[in-house]
Order: sequence, then C-alpha cells, then structure tokens
Amino acid sequence: MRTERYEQYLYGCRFCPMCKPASDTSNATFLECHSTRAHAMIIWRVSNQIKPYSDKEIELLYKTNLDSVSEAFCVDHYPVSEYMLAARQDIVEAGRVPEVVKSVLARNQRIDVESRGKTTILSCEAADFAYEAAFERVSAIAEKLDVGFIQGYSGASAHFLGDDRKARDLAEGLTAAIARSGVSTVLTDGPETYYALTKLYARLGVHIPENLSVRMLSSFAAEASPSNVSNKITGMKAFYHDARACWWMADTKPDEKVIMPDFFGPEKLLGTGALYDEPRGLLKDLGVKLVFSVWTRALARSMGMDEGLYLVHPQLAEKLARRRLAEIGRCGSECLVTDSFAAVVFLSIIGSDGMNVVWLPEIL
Amino acid sequence: MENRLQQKFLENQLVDIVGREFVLTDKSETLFYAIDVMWIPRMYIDRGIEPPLPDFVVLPGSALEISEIVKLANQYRVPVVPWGGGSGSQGGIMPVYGGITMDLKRLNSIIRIDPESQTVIVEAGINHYELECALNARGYSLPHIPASIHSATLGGSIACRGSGVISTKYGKIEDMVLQVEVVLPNGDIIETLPVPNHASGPGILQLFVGAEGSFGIITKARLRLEKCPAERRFYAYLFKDMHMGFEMGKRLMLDRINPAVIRLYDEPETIKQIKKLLGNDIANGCYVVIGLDGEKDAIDLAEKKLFAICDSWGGSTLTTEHAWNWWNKRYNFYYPKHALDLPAMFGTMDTICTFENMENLYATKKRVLEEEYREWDLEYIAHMSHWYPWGVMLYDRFVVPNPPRDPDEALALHNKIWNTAVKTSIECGGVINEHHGVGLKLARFMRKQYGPAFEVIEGLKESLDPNNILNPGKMGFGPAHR
Repeated sequence: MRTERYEQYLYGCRFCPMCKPASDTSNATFLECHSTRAHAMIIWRVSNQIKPYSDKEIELLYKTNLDSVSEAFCVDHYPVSEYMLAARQDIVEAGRVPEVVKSVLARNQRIDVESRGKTTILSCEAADFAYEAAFERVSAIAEKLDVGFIQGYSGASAHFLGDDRKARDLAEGLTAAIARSGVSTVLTDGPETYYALTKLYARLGVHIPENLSVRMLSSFAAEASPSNVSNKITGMKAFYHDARACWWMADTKPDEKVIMPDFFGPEKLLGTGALYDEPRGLLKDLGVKLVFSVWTRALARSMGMDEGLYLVHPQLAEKLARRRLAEIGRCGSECLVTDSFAAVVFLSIIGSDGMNVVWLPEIL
Repeated sequence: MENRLQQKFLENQLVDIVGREFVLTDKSETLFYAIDVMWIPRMYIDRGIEPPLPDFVVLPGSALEISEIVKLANQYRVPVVPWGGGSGSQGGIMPVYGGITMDLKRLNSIIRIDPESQTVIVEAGINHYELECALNARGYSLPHIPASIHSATLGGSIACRGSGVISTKYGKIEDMVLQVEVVLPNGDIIETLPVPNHASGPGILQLFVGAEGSFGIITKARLRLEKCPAERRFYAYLFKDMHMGFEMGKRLMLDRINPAVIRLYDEPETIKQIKKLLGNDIANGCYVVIGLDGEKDAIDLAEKKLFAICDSWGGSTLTTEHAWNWWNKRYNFYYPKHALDLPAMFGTMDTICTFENMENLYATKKRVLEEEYREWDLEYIAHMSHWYPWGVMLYDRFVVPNPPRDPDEALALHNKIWNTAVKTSIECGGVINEHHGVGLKLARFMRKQYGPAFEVIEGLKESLDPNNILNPGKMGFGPAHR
C-alpha cells in the first residue's frame, strides 16, 4: 500500500489533536470523524492491516479536502496531504471508489481544443462547473488582453481524487493540445491550474512542451495593461484569499510561532512563495488596504472547491465556503479578492453572502 | 442498547431534536468519540480492539435541545456522556455503558464581552484556542492557557477543573468562572447566581465545576478576563537537585512574588524532555523556568526579589534563550515527536499537596514506583508546575517502555501501577488530582480519597440524577439505573 511509506507520520497523527483549529472539514461540520486525526486513524489502521476500509470510512476520506491546512499548522509539518493522497490512490487501485467519485472522474475527459495566437489563457479551474457564465468571463478577459483561450481538464482534480492514471491521461491530452496550437505562453486561470502545469505534470511524468512559459493570468494582465488599471477596489479593505493549491507551490512553510493564540503577524510567517506574494503586491500597487487573519497564506482555509471537494460533496463544500466567507467578513474586509477562478465561480453559483468577490485578473 | 427496536425509536426522536446530520450511529463515525488521551482506549485501538462505543453521537445546537435529549435519555434510561474536545487524559468521555455521547462543539458562540466588568459570556463548546484568539484580538485574555488549548473546549476545562500554564498567578478555571448555565439531569435549565462571591447560602456554582458532567451539563459560562499583559519576562535556572529548586519555588510563593510560571523539572525530565526539546546543553541538574508578567514597574520589583531568592538557593542562571525557548515552544511538548505514545505505557499522575508534604511525596513515589516495577524498567519523571501560597502540584509521570503485548495483561499492569501510585500519594498526604479530573481512570479511588465524605457526593448525585444517566461509570458512580 502506498500509505505504508507514511507510517511514522500516520502513527504520530492518529491520536494527535494539535491541528484541531486547522482541521478544515471538521470545523465546518463539527464532527470528529471529519477531523485530520480521524482521517489519520482510519488510514493507519488499514495501513497496518488491523482492518480493511469500510465503505463509510472511504466516504469519510472523500468527504474532505486533503487536510493541508492541518499540515501547515503542524509545527513539524507532517505530510498530511501526501498520506491522504496515498490513501485515495490505494482506494482507486483497489476499485473501491465511491460512486460519486467515479462519476466525477468519468466526466473528466480529454477535450480536443486548439488556441489562436502564441499566448493563451488556459482555463481549467471552471471546467468541472459546466457553468456558461464562467466561460464568458474568461472569454471577455481573453478578448481584452487579445490572447487565445483554451478550456479543459488539467487532471488536477483527478489527481486529488486519487486517480493518477486519469490525471496523466488528461495532462497528456492538454499538453498535446497546447503543443498542436503552437502556444509559447500559457496564462493560467488560477493557482490550481498553475500548480498542475508547473509541478503536478512533472510528478505525473508528463512533460509540458519545451520552452513553454507558464504564468499566472493576473501577473500577465497587470503587465499587459498598466495604463488600463481599474480602481474599483482602490482604498477598500480587502482580504486576499489563497486557494489550497498555493500550498503545493510554497517556498516556505509557516513558522511554529503561528500556532500561538496571540500571533498577529508578520503575515509572511504564514508562508511565502510567488503565489502568495505577487498578488498581494499587485493589490498594494492598486492602493488596496489588505487585512488578514491567521487563516491566510498557507493556513488559508478552503473555500470548499479545493482539491475536488465541491465535485463530490457540493453541500459540504458550500458549508466550508460559508464558514470562510463569515471569517473573512469578521476581519473587517469590504471585499474578497482571489486569483482562484474556481473559488470565484463557486461563489457565484452558491452566492457570496453579500461579500463583494473579486477575481484579481478582472480588475487589472 | 440491547433492544434494537427501542434503539431505532430513540434514534428517530434524536433526529427530530437535532436533525439527521447531527446524529451519528455508524461505528466508523462514532469510534472517534470513544477515545481521549487515556492510555487504555488508545492501546485498544492500536491492538485492533474496539473500545466501548456510544450507540449515538448527538450534536445539539442549544441548551433547549440538550434539555430535550436529557429528558429522552431519562425516559429510555440511556447514559449521556458529554463530549468537548476529547483532550482529557482520564477516560472521562469513554462511553463505558454505551448510550448517547453528546458533543457540545456546536455551542461555540462568544455571547458578550463586558469591558466594564471585564468578563465574557461564552458557550461551553467553544475551543479554547478560538476563544483566546478572539479575546487577544480585543486586548483581553482568559488566563486559563492549558497545554491542550488547541483541542480542549471551555466546557471540558470547567467540568474537569482544569489548570493552565499561568495558573500560579491567575488561578485555575474554577477561580475564573463566575456563573454557569447548566442542564440538569431532569432536563431543567438553571443558572447559578450572577456572581460567585456572596453570602446567599452555599455556592452551588462549584457543585458543577469539576463534576465532569455527572451533576449536569454546562452549556454556558461567564468568566473573568484579564488584560493582555504589557510585558512578560522569563528566567531559566539550573538547581543542583529538586530540594533546592523546591525551596526556591516555595519561597517565591510564600513571599508573594506572584510569578505567573514556576516550572521545576526533576533531573530525569530535564535530561529527557527539556534538553531534547529546547536544545539546551544541560548535562545534569534540575531546570526551572520562572515567568513574570504585568506592568514594567511591578515586574522590575518582583524581578529583584526573584533574583535574590534564586541566588540564595544556589540557582545557576541560564541564558534568556533557555528561558524563552520554554515559553515559545511550550506546545511542542505535545506534538508526536515529543509526546508520550504507544507502544510504551504511560500515565500522568498529577498530585497536589501542601508544601509540608511535597518533598516526601515526590521522593516516596519515585522510590516506590521505580522499585516495585523495576522488572518493567518503569521510569519516573516529574515536574512541579502549578504553585499555590500553601503548596504545589506534582506533575509526575510513569513510562513503561515495553508493556505486555497481551491487552488484558497490559491493562492489569497499567491499573496495578496506578493502584500503587494513588495509594502512595494518599498516604503521603496528596490529593490524587489537581487538574486532569477523575474520569474512568481514577473513579475507583474516589471513595478512598474522600472517605466518609464521599457519601455527600453520592447523596448529591442521587438527588440530582436518580436514574444515574449522566456520565455513568465515572467519579466513582455506577451504571445507569434500568
């Protein structure tokens, strides 16, 4: 079993309560069985052949994201998300994937697309939503920036759900489409797509075309239209929301000081990396006043759509989103800004409880 | 429950009260409510044995819902075990007779902060870390800062008479709680008087504090707050033995220097834990960390006296880093790398007594346990960490590195060690627990600890909870009456 290689960490986490405040799902549902500790105990017992997975336990391992906030909050940063992934991979391999996951994976298909021009927006984060308005929003930005537009499945969701074979197939399909189009620069619609191309594909053994430049759409938009900057949130208090995918790209993990209840910064102790720092820099340039809580950067709680959760358990995902919105509201924020197109689309579908939600590329 | 039909009836009624999503019955979901930090249920899990499970886990959202559930439990004669964060070490949440485990975490609101009286009214299911973050952001602190802050709930602390790391100055949770709302075993919802200090008869507030849910379920509390201290200072010393360190600590307390922290570690713990965790280059002796907090002038004054007392008892000054490392890494002790865990057997004995008896208690317990369990290589480590103007608590632990593999033999050895430890503590004038509570682990010693006075507690229990449905099997009480 893949989980065996995480034995020491599973052993350590199986009774450990220290990451409770960071345990994303259980804090939204209040249920112990949704805690990181519970997930570790389930996996550890199976990994040590004490018992096989029950159907309910498999359901529990999919009724969550990958618990990476707990990993970030742990002073020793035990690889929680990695053993969660390994458990899901074992479940996929054993053919015991719940029906709801099966149907999501079946929906994820290669899309034979091509793009015009050398630079194209790659929109994968909204592919699963099949939400027309999302397509229109990306199209509008593509038009504004005079670049191409490809929409498709990156394979990240399949990977997070434990099906690397599927993820690899989707990655190969997408990279082939990019190569066929002769694209030299890909602008990703959010951190999860960016992570897929810059890190996940290498992990899956899929090569992106040589000399292909991968950039965040917001970074390109800021550079491309400096004279056309919208000021609609200038002077406002904004909370920048980081998608969980940023965690996988971080340069530094949170310092152990952040677990203290009287920790109020500096914010960078919560993790650094281009996906954390650059958008905040852009917002500061716009004259936005950034507010934050401890639950930001590497400790950013999920907006529900991360790591495939909304695909398999949309109501639970919505619960996480509502909790996150309330928390951001309590920081005195007048708007929520994010690079994550998945978060923006998800919130536009479920409603944002009166919070002004801004997709960063759209205001640059 | 033995009767499946009755179980289904009860389940439906519970669902009617709290909603489907807040009633769990599947073992894959209820297992996590069967264990806390006590060694035995963890050993069971590790060895593939199912600990006693609740028939239902229920998460009520209000005192009214709790009241309805308790009434139902009386009707069906089904136990109700309150559940907070699962961070207790005494098996207090173990559903030894099945029934309903009542998780209170949905009751997590901060209802009101009163800046004039410097108090907070808060629901009992709130996580301590969440509460403290919210208070700190407003410049206040509930100075109950338990080591289990990230997992424990307020209700759990009150129910078990918890202590925090700065209790030496600020007191225990029972000193901070002014008023509680309680659902009684018959379902009545009551409030104790608005203030704890009065002469309107006996104080029933303290009847529920430390009762571990046996007399009622605490749903809300009003507590006093402190302003976040303007300054903290920490000092680390090395004393050549426990006697010198103990005399120093005693003097600090008797002279009313008012330190927030005095932690005196014996030599084995200094070498085993402190050196490893804090990266200190200590080869022998007893490590002490002392903390002062408050306004600068007051600290300056206390500091002078503290220096003089430490000098007079032969303390060797360590660096500021040696001191601050303890404060900054105080939670690291409880992460897997450093916390006690299986396969070793372990237990925290947590005994309190007057200064007069403490040195004898420490020395006797260490000797008796190490001698009687030499064949098991029992290791005894201790520190003194919660000090009073009259005495101190001994946070002493035993570790058996290779306990029997057979679960029944392991349990027998575990309980035998506890029998020896508790007997020794009581004989030396100790009270068997300062802040972990009684739970299942110490239930069998309650009668011995109290003597005939236990009848008072039993009488109260019989009067309040005639069917014995609230947390049966704990505190020295038996199963629910059928």
